[in-house]
Order: sequence, then structure tokens, then C-alpha cells
Amino acid sequence: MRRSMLGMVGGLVIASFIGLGLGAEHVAAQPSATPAGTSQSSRADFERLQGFSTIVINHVNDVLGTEQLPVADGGGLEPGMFVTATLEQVQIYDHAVAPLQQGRLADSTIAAECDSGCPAAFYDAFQRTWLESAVESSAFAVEIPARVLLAVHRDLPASTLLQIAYAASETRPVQPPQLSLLVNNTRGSLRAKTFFLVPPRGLELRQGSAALGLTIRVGGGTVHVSATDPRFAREHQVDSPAKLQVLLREIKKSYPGKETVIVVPEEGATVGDVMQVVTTVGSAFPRLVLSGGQEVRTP
Amino acid sequence: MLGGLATATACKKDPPVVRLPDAPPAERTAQSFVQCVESRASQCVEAADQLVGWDSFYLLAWLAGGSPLAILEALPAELADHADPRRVQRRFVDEVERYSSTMRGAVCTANASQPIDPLIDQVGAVAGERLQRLGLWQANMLDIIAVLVEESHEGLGGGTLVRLDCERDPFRVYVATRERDGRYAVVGMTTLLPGSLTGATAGSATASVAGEPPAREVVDERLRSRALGLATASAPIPEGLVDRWMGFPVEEF
Repeated sequence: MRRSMLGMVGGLVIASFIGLGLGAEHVAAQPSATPAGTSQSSRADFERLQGFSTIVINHVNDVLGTEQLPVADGGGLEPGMFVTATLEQVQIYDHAVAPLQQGRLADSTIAAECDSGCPAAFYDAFQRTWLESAVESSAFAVEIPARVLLAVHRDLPASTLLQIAYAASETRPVQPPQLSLLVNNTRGSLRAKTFFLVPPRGLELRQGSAALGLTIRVGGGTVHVSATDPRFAREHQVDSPAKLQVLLREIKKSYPGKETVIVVPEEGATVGDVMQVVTTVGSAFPRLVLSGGQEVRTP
Repeated sequence: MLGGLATATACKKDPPVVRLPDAPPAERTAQSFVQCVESRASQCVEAADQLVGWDSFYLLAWLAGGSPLAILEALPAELADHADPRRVQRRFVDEVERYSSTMRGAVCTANASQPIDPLIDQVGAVAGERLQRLGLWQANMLDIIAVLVEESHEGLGGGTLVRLDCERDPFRVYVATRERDGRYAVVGMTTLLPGSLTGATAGSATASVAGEPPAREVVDERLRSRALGLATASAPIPEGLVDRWMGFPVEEF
């Protein structure tokens, strides 16, 4: 029986690949002056073992530049499907799937199947990618990714980020993925800020729920703070991070067990604006939920 | 009397002539293979030593268009499997078994075909460039890609990639055929070419056989298909969480 030629070179090859890392890593974001494609001249670079984080950094540097990511704190990078959005295009892995103009889709036709009202261009692209993942997982010994990492330009309209996140989540088979936004922390390290989405058709709380449902609307230089809990006095309008911090400290005193904030970007808000608020809110309410206008309702 | 019998025989209506479909041999071979799979599943698979070429091509296509995450995770094991002809055959058998019952009612018809040799070179070039760009390039990946290209040509050289369109799931089947000593054989099958080899390469070597990207309804149905094991898959929501979209304790909301 004929044996593949790879059997002859395979041992060395496989040994070199065994070293590839997939685990969570804390990686310093390298400046984009040294993209992956330019490092081939050095044999030492050529032979270095690459892990998931390195591949993501290489790719983000190649298409976006890690210095363009929003600034915030977060956790370590975990492997997952990675998506990049510049102001000109969206890529899933390294495949360009949708052109953008100033960070927005030119064709904003809605996919009828998308409960959150996301554009067809994003819905179809993610749906096809999940199918490719499903076929891949049937043919090879891999799982369909449970996590989606989004690396987006800080000036991207936050509404575009939400369209992408909802499209990626609504199209995944079985259940929505975990979501992380790639950010630079203040020490220049690449981190992943985990976030959730309000369900695409909103969320109806149970009768007698003790939820606070703290909600911050971001846009136009001011933020509006409200909550679904009927005991929460009134909506507050705040125009500086310092005032927002003071207000949130007061709210935390009344609701010490609550950890969650829903951030709703309004028209014109960028991802950078949103993450600035998230950073301000972070110590008091570290769990982030984003909403594209989906509401949390009390019965 | 004998003369009368001879006359009667001569006057008998000629039996109907069964005409083979007016299609290239490779497409007819692919069509026959699908019909065979519908009834006899993996019994239609060729001997293991005939299948290495397709396995090499499929690995190249995966490197050229598959998820970098999966490549990172699975490539060592897949290369190890590729070096063992029995596991190569097992992979093809599993693929055929996975889709045989689904294909039974799918009504698949061969609709397009093209020589596979230019595809091998194209996929090899894309894979090499991509692995290098992503930083997945290792010291001897150049050798691996060269060997996979060589094996693909050796095993599939002169062969044809045929696309069958089906009325139902899996909607599309790609079958690789090759001819040796006047005999056509099917040596590979898949239901999906990587995205980088379909829509993104319009006008390229794969454009005609790849066809249009599948429509939303098609993808939706495939994502719920039994063949992919997703028909009955559902994830329970652990007690105490807000919602399956907001998977954290309700007390903290």
C-alpha cells in the first residue's frame, strides 16, 4: 500500500507544529511597523512557533494596527473566531466579507431572518462562516468556535459594531457565542473585554424580578443613566466622566450586589466613546452588556 | 415453417436502445457515484491507495481557506493521519457515510466540471501565501505544501472536479474523478469548497465549477442538518442565569 510522501517528512513537520500554542496569553501588542508578512527574511523569525495570540496580533496589525483599537482594560485572549473592522471593510478571519464607507455599510438592506434587524451583508457572511466551521468540525477534529473576538477601529460607529455582533451571534448554530472586544490597556497590552448582548428582541424580566437593569445611553457628549427597577428615582443626564463616576458610586451604595451595566450607543457614538464610558463605569459595574436599542422590560 | 419463424423474428420490434446521457465521462462517473452512495454508502469508496491525491488537495484547500484557529489546533493530527493510507480512506469513508442518507432524497445532478490540475496549483499558491501572511508559517511548511501539491498532481492529475447541484440538503456535492487505463473512478468528495475558493475568486480557475455562493435559505437548512449533527443540538440554560444571551447570574443584573 502506497504511503503518503508526507510520511517521510511528516515527523519533523508534526514535531514543529506540536509547539503551536492555543492557550490564553497576555501579549504585548506589537506596533504595526512589523507585520507578519515582512518577517520572513530572518530565519530565526521564520522558525518561531506561533500561537493564537500572535496570529491575531499579526493579522490586526496587518489590517488595522493595534494602536487603533479602543483603550480599556480586559482579560486574556482566548481562542475563537476573529473579526476585524476598519473604517473601510469587515473581515472574518482573513476573508474580506463586507466593504464599509466611513465605517458604515453602503447597502444596509436588512436580513428578514435577523431578529435584531442586522444587515443582510453581515448576516449572510457570518452564516456562511458558521457553515464552513460546521463542515470543518465534521471533517477535522475541531469544535465550532464558541467565542468571537472583535478587533475594531476605535472610530468605528458603535452601531456598526452592534450590527456585526448581533449578526455573528444570531447566525451561530446551537447557541450564541461568547463575545470579546479587543482593546489596548493603558500599559499597551492587548486585552479582551468580554461583553454580552441584550437578546435581539429585547428581554422581558420576570414578575417581581429584583433586577436593577442599569442602563447608560451614550452619545452627543452626554450620557443618560436610567434603570428598569421602578425604585430607581429618575433618569440622570451627565456630561463628564467625573460626574458619572460620582453618580455610579451613589447607585452602587444602593445596589451593592449588582455588577452589570447595559450600554446603548446612540447615533453618532463611536466604539471609542462607548469604551471610554465602560472604563469609567468599570470598577463599580464591570459586567458589560451592549444593546442596539433592544429594551429590557418589566411586566 | 422455419422461414416463417425467421420472418417473424426479423419483423419483431427492435429492443429500445439505452443511451448514455450526453455528458462528459467525468460527470457521468460522478453521477453514478452519487447514485451508488445513495444505496450502498461507503461500499462505493475506492481502495485506500487511490485516495491520497484527494486528501492532499483537501488539506491544501483547508490551508488556503479554512479557519486559522482550526488549522492551528488540528493540523498536526491531520498531517499524521494523512501519512497513513488507512486513515486517509477512513476520512473519505466517514465523509460518504455522513451524507449517504441525506443524499438519498436530495436529487443531485451533475451540472459543471473542470480539470483539477490548475486548481491544485492555485490552491497551493493561495495556501502558501496565506500561511505566511498569517504567521502560521513554520520552518518546513514550504516542504509540506510542495509535497501536498505534488501528491495532489500525482493522485488527481488529469482528473476532473465535478459539481452536482441537489434539490435538498446537502444542496451541492463536489466530486473528484480521475481516469486510469480507460477506467474512471471517484477519488474524493466534499459538500463545501472553502469560501476563499468560491465567491472570492470569481474569474479564477475555480469560478465555473464552484458556482454561486449558497443562498441564505440553503445555508440555514444546512446549519440545521442531520448530516452535520446540528438537527437536534441545543444548549441548556443553566439555572439562575438571566438568559441564554446574558449568561451570568440574575442576582448581578
